[in-house]
Amino acid sequence: MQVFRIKIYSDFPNIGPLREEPMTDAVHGAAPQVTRVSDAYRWMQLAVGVGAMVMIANYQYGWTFFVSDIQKKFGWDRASIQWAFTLFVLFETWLVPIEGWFVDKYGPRLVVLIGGVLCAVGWAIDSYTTSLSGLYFGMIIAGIGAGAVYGTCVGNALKWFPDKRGLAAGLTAAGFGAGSALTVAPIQAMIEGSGFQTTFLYFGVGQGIIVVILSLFLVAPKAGQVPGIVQNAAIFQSRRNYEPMEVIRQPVFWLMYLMFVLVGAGGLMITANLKPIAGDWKIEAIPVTLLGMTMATVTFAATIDRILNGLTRPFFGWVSDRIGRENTMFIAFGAEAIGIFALYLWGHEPVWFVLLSGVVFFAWGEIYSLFPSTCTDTFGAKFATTNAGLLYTAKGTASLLVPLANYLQQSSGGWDSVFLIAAGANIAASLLAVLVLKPWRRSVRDADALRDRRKTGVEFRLGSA
Amino acid sequence: MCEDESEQGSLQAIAIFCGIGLLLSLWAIKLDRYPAVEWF
Repeated sequence: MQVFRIKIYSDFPNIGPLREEPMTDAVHGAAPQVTRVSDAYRWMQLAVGVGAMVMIANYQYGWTFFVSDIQKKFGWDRASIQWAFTLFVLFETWLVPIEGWFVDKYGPRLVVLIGGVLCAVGWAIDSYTTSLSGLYFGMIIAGIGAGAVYGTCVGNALKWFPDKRGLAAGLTAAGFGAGSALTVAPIQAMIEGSGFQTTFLYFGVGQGIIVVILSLFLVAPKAGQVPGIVQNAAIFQSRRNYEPMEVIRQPVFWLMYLMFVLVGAGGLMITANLKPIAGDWKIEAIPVTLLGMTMATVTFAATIDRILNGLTRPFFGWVSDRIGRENTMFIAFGAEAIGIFALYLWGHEPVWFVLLSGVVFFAWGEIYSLFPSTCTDTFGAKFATTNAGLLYTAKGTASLLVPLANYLQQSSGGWDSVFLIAAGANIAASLLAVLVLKPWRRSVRDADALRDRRKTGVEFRLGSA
Repeated sequence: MCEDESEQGSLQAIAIFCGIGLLLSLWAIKLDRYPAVEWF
């Protein structure tokens, strides 16, 4: 049998081993020299990450249950208290790339461990403070900790699962989105029974300790422990690892960033304003009955929306592993545009408001799995945490555009233009995905492959079996 | 040494990028133009 020996000098140390593989005309080549870990081990790594994400979910999603009691005890106005939450989100979002840099350099364990400690310390501060500035400081500390855990766990999932990157990132992000569902009742019960300060302390420290324990099990994959790049014509994965500084010089990165901002801002303009929209349409408190449950319109919408916002992340991530990232973006962002427009047309009816707001959330939340996986496919796994973190800041940029919706609403006296702009932004992102991003990423991957071949050389040796 | 310097430079650039975003957002808060979003 004729054997061609191809020498691959990979600069993809976290994914592809440096190895010499015989390429034969038989179906299977030789096994890699470095042992791959079992799938069970990879799933265990993912489960640890999801567990940590569930543990930090309450720092964000549980906050709302504390606000009334804080207000009652100290008499601060609600808006001032809510700034603590806004500061939490800001520091959670904008510091992820820096935390990611430490993850890519020193591994996930130390960063998640410190993240868990910061989360615990943050809520412990909030349990003792008697001033607004103390409350803000505690939430900033907790936000930095939560961001460290979030960015690390998503990055680790991206590294361990090059073959199921969308699903892995989606499950991890869903842990954050839906994790608070497990602890809503206990938190509310403890606030009612023991007061919000005790709850801050016990839940804050308790969840922080669990994150610290979970961090001890987290490791980054070593060379050859995970599958190589995916053999799927619809998924473009580069062998090359771009450093963060290279990434921010790539125009294709900024296209992804623009798309993230378009979809993020378009979705946020609606989702962040659902309550005032329902209020203006005078349907906020009207009872809605669906599936044997009756709740006020806004409460029902919020409940369904949280569930769908969690489910959509692994679902569309899984779809993207099969049909490609851009094709999935086209479908999801297109569905988001239709959902927003349908909500505009028929949302004045309470039942439709609940259902269509669910569609809007379902077609929106997948940005947290599609963009990290697309970023890592394009720029490699070695610096995946930092690079995905850089892209994740688009969420923060999108938030800066949301006040535009309020400005439009105030200047026009209605929500029409807000809905139309939000739907338009999603249509634009949907088309950009298939018409621009897809061919562009393909050309980037092909150019990298060509450059690799030119730079490193490919040795073909004729031999015999 | 060179690699270390490059890594430090990379971290500094990332820190500047994040710092600008954070400062812009804090400025938006000061102008009361940042949404307090609980639903995402």
